[in-house]
Amino acid sequence: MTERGDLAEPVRGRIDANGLLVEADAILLRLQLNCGGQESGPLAVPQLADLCRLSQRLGMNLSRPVQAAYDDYTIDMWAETRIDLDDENRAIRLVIKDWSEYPTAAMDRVEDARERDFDQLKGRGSIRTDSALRVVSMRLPGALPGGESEIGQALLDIFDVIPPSGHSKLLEAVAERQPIRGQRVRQKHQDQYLFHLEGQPLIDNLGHFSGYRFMVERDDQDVDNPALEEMEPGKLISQNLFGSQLGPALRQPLGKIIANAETIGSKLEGPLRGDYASYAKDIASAGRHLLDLVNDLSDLEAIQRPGFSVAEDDIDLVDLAHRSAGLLAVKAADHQMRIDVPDKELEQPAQGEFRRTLQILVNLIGNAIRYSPDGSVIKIRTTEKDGQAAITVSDQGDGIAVEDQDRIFEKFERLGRSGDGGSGLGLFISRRLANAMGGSLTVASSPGQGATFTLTLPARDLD
Amino acid sequence: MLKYGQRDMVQRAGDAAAAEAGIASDFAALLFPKSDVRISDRMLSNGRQYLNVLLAEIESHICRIALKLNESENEILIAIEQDRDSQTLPILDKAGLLKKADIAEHLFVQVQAAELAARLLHKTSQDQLEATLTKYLDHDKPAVANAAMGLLVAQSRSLANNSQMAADISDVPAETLFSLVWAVSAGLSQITGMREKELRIVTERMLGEIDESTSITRCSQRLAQLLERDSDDDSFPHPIADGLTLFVARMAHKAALGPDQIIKFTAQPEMAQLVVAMRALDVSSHDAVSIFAALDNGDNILTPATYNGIDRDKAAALLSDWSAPVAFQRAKRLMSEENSDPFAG
Repeated sequence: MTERGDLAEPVRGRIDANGLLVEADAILLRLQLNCGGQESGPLAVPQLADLCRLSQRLGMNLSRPVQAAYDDYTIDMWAETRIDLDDENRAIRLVIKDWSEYPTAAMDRVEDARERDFDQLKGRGSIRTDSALRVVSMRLPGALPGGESEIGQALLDIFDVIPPSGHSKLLEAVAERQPIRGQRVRQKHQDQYLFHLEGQPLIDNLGHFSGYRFMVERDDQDVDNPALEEMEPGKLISQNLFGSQLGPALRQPLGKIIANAETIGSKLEGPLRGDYASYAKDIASAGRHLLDLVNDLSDLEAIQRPGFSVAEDDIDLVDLAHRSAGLLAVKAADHQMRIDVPDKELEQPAQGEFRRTLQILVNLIGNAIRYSPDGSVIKIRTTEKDGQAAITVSDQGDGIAVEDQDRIFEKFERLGRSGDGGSGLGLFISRRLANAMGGSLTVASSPGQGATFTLTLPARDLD
Repeated sequence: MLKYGQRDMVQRAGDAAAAEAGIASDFAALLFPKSDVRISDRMLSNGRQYLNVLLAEIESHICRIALKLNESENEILIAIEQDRDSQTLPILDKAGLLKKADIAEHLFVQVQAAELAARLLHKTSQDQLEATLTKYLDHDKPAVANAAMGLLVAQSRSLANNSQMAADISDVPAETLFSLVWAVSAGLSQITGMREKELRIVTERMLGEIDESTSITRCSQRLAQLLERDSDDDSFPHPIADGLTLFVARMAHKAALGPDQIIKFTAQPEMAQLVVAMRALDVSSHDAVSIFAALDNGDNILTPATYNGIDRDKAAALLSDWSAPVAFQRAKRLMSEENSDPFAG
């Protein structure tokens, strides 16, 4: 990252009549790639693309403040467009002055990053569009291909809207800047998968509508569902029961129950008797518990399947510690707990699947919050030893007796605890995932002294 | 004896007949204004003068390019290029092309800004206002010095002719200027008889030569962005300390509003929206009272008790509403007006 205001020289780029970024200084190209664009592809920084389009439409040289963002950084800049009057194609030279990057302090940026982590954790994809519903970044759920060639295309050129709702209803919601809920779409090209879109309108710092952020999930009624293909003739339920059939079928209604109960409980739709609001919160809490159970059972089924494998991503355990702590920050704050994470400047490179490692850490920190006294501190540290990178999560809870330390990694083992929202599957799944990634998950504890869980993964050399 | 000759009288009677339908709406607008903003005769006169000068500037620019591109010595084009009065104003006015909300809003903002500038000059001198900018010319950061120089140059252009409302084309919002320039171009095709294709090329060339980065609004916005970014100083901008345009730009930046919105706030009775915006931004009562006194025409006084009595949370909620997209605010307002009197005709 650059330091604040240290770019004395303007950053330059050139955009042709089709909106392609045909020339760019390194720093602009970096932003383009970070926003999901490609070298010589359509300009993917929404605010800059808007400015260039307006400049081309008006045929005028514009000069305006622009704010862009990626990951946890905000970039303030002053962008000027210069139309080449002697060029028949009316290409635009982009001159960016006062480029300044700084870590985003605002809550909404933190929320954005956290939303992305939640999406990854749940195996969901995401699409970001500009105000004209053109795709600026796209990541489909799971390992589905797609995302790069779609940049710059209109969303409705990539997906068909599936009845009962139609294009007009979607466009109406967009025109009114309304959230878009439960929109079913089908890919027009490639594998023609079915998806569910949930969209939130984005408003920039100047109060202007700047596009949508969609959460993308595979539709459970997908005719191309591999689980259905795997089924033996005459069987109503496949062996892949939770992962492909019951899981998605249950998640959607449960999600609606939780969302509606939370809306009622928070009295967003109007005043409500106090005890009714409390019942609604209980319903939401029970719904979340059921949803966690469905997720755990899906994972359980997945890891016990013979062909189960994990991806080998290049990950940084310090980064993952921050992300998982961020995901549980609200829950920790509810119990006045502090999650002490390693310094962000540190690095602990390792090899393992990003989403699965995040899942293990969320499980470990979630347990630490659940079983530690209010006001205590949860400490996360990283180390490397004998070619293994390790991350530890230590709590100040009651601890685990030596004779119980193996049992807690068994299926449905709760050590006699109940009513705390756990399913007894989290640690079993986490250990199996750690093993599948070539690592391990162990615990060290004494009664009354808290517990320290250690996840090890193969270490990775930094290039 | 009548002021006009017979032919004039016939012409005027014909024009009056065509405009007869507008009499009632003009009268209604004066009798039943939709806002509490007081528009003086001076402001109306300044508005007309500004529009005339602005259109004349556009005409002059188009004709200058046409003469240069075609290496022509067309007398009509030369005359229009040198004329300080607009030739297309009557045609555009008659065709209703100037009765657009964005044009009217730009005129109002310019006129109100001139009012504010005049009020400030009663409290301090032009030299002192300019001196506040020149101090940034020696700023440690070259970008700040460069932006301050840009603003000084832009301001000096608008002050070049003190005798009338100055108009600089680049100060008109690009989207508004675009429609205005093409309307003038169509008007010029009637007056000069230039071929449309030729005029289109000239107009496109003229638009391409406009540089928004030299406008006072953009220069002040850029300087404000740089100053707000680098400032460790907690003090709030002040019209006397910063000059009007920079004060407006800095306050707009802090409030996440447009500079034009801040100018419009100052036109309201007792500058209510400006005061609430300052309260929302947690401006100290001392600063708020001083800013109010600098911008007010002397009829009103803001006391610390009144200012501190404004609920800060409510003020912040209001300010947040005002930063919503204009179309949203307008629709919301219209819907609430409709709901308040469902039987209103």
